[in-house]
Amino acid sequence: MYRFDVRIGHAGFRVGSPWRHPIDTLRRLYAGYPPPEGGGATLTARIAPPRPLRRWLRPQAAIAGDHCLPDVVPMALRHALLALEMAMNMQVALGERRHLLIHAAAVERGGKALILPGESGSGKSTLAALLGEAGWRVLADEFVLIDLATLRVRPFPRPISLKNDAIVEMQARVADESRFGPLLTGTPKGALRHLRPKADAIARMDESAVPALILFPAFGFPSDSAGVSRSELFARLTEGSTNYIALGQRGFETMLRIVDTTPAARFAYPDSAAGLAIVDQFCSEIGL
Amino acid sequence: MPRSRAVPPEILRITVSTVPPPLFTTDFPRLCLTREVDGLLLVFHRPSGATHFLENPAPEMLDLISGSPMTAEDLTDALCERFSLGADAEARTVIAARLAELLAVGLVRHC
Amino acid sequence: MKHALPLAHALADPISVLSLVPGQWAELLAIARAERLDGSLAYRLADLPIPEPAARALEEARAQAEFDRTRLLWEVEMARRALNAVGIAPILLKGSAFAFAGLPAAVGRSAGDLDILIAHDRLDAAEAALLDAGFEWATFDSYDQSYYRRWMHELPPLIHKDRGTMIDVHHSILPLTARRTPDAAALIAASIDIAPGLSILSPADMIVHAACHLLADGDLSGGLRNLWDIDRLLRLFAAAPNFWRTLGERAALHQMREPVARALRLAERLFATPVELRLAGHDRMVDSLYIRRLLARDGWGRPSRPLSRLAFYARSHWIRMPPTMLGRHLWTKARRQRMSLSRY
Repeated sequence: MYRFDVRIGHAGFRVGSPWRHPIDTLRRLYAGYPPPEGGGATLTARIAPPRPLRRWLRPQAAIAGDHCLPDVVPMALRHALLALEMAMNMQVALGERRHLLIHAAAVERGGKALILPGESGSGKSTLAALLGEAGWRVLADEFVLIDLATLRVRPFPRPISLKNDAIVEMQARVADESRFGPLLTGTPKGALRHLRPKADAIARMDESAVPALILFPAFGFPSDSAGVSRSELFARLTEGSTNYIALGQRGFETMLRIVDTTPAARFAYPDSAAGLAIVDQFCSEIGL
Repeated sequence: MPRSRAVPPEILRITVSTVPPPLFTTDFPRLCLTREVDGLLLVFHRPSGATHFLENPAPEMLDLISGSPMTAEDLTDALCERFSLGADAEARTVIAARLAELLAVGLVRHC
Repeated sequence: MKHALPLAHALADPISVLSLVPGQWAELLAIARAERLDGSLAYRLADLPIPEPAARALEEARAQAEFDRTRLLWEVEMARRALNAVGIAPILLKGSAFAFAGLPAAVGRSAGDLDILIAHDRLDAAEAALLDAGFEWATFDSYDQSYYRRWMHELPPLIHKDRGTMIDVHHSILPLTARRTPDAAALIAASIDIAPGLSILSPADMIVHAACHLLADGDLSGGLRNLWDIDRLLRLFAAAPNFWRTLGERAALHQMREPVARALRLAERLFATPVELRLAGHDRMVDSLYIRRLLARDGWGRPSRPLSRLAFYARSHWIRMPPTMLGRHLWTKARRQRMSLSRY
């Protein structure tokens, strides 16, 4: 097994692959990330051929690791980097029990966090990437970790997954080519390219932030916005959490406190410029 | 197969009334954390670990049953009295449906 | 790590983990998680001065075990409500029994499905009550359904349509086709009322069932966890007077003398469980093959020792079915697999 160990925020990963190339690519993508704390990773993510022959013959990579779901569909080997990323995500999505997970992107400014929850296609990752190039620090693009005791957002700044048009947009804004992973075409989500957050975001990955605003983006509609009631906020955040139920009472209490203390709204936007403008407006309204 | 004779109404009535209708009871609000949010009742049910959003008349139903076990009929009457509504067939249907839901998630049980 | 022996050591002798180097924790955790013993390990290692990242990982395993326990006890309660309504008091088996009775075997245990035992003549009533309570068949395949009903010791598995949890309703502890025939009626007769409407097996029968489940009803996958259950149960039960004699009697009654003896020997070898030597018998060479199979997990959490696993897989069919039945069953399975493959 070829192996790469890396720390992202609180998680120390041991990543394995029977093929060498994907691990080398992963190592380049994670240039500048620290090794696991004390030299000891505790989460294992890996890819494996679904059947022994599939290691060489029309090779496929299935995601695997300490925590995994049954019935995973294997990917073609040329998408192995994506499979490795998904395997790493899965360890957090299924195993995290010390923080409440929210399916969202998040950025920080002045010690305060802007949280952008949403499904794929909502535009949250692209917005986070854009804000990351406009003076904000990227905290997360997939999982926002909320400390159960302090409610603070603990950064999980993995490389951002850009899809289709967003790739071109960010390539225009980011001069440093080395921050991009390889271009993957023909994935289930179309074209995909990873963008490593700025060095600052990686260096400060242990600096938490206070949640200050929750905005639900919806990309591809005329500009519009509306408030989100506390009940709707509770429902939408729990829906998008992979570990809310498993956290039991602590999950309930933490979610209630977030809903009680964090203003929330939703907005629609037709393009990035409009989206950033609306975000700016909301932020200045609440002093973020 | 011989055609069965029609059963006289008096006999039918006796047969039906000897099967007692089920009683419903609840431990609510014990074993739960609750919070009112936007007119809904948010409930964390500790034994099941499930979270529920309850809207009228579910919270009122639970309140009435927690006082003493009731049949669906008595519950409908008590509920309609509380809200000054007529206990008609529609009310009974709605109450029966809500009861079935509360039964399914375990907030209410037979006794 | 090439096999799961370090995990067995860590469970049996927690202090041994203090000699692990940082790089080995990822391996130990991978093996523990794959064997579903990470919760148990977490409780065994609590309060030891282990590295911070490992301690946090074990904290998460404890939180998961807590949640699993809550969920399992809730399944017990909902099954109780459904079955008590038709006058059936189910006997809890395995994890649900440990959890409900608060046995040491339950500590840190990650839950599987709910397993219950009821009398054969109450099966139809139980089935109807559970379907009424929102359970659905996991498989509609008519071959599977008829196979289960004719030959197996349990109903086809049921899954709850809202909760997604599974319940296995047993009427015996081994398939009707197996070579050994435990006495289901005797299990029920000796069962202990643990709460209104709920029972568990007697201690000796619980060990017989655990040995049966480990050695007479499968290919030993997940076997290390079953053996750990047996270790935990034995340490508690052995304190009772005459326990070993009763265990010997019940093992004989259920035609499970040999599996029980082997289970005792394996537990003693891997976990240093104190066992009564006469019941355990002297070591057999073939015990080592069982040990090899039980420890077949590498440091990446992958199943290892493919030949060993294949051998026990073949054995699992052989012990469940007479040869002619086995032939027919495997033929039907192979045909169905080929048909489903041809769809792609």
